[in-house]
Amino acid sequence: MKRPPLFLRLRIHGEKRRPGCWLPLFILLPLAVALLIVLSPLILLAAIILRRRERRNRKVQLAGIVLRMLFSPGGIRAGFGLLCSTPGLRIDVSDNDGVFQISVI
Amino acid sequence: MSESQKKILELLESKKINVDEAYRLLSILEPEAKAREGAAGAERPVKATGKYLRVTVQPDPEHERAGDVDRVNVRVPMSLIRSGMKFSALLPEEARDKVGDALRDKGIDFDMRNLKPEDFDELIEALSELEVDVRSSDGEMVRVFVE
Repeated sequence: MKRPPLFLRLRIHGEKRRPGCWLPLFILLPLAVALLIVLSPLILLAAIILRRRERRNRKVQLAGIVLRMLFSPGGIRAGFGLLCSTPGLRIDVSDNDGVFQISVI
Repeated sequence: MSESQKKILELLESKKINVDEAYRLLSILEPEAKAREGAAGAERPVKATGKYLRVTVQPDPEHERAGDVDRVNVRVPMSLIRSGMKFSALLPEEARDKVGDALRDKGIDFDMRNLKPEDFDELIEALSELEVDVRSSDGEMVRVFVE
């Protein structure tokens, strides 16, 4: 069964070694969803304004398309699916100057 | 053929919907029909696919001994690639047309409207056989594979 990620492990350091940090996504994600629900009237307003102005400006048009994509029922479902697919993602880049590591658990 | 599929074809025959609309409706119904066929016992052999797409860059052992340790290790779940691909299906019609036009300008004849959800599975299945090994002039080894 698909589940949202629980932790994000982040480790970025230069020549001087520093410990990585663990972000508890199982706490942060519900907070983000709650924030999104609170901000939803503003998002709706932004979508309406962008819809009116999008004929004039290409960037505004793009922003409108992205907003409508993300906040449509299909977009929310696909976004949640994308989020639930992230556990197991690992990016690890290191060179002489430092280390950049992200892993989703 | 299900009742819904018959109804769509009847609507097409009576010219209440056009060919594009009928095709879209039928492609929405297709997964349901396949699920019913699966439940009826017509099981297809499922091809084993890898779980992760890996990209690794490993330094040349000689450079490594000299202290040059550039390394890249990326592991992307295949389900993440599949979910990302599904996002393209959400693109509005006008955006798809623009993407199509931009690709055509670059000499790539590819119409995003022809991309269907079942194509994603086929693409992912094909990706599981991917293996790319590149050795650069300075001895770095770049590998792209599915595990």
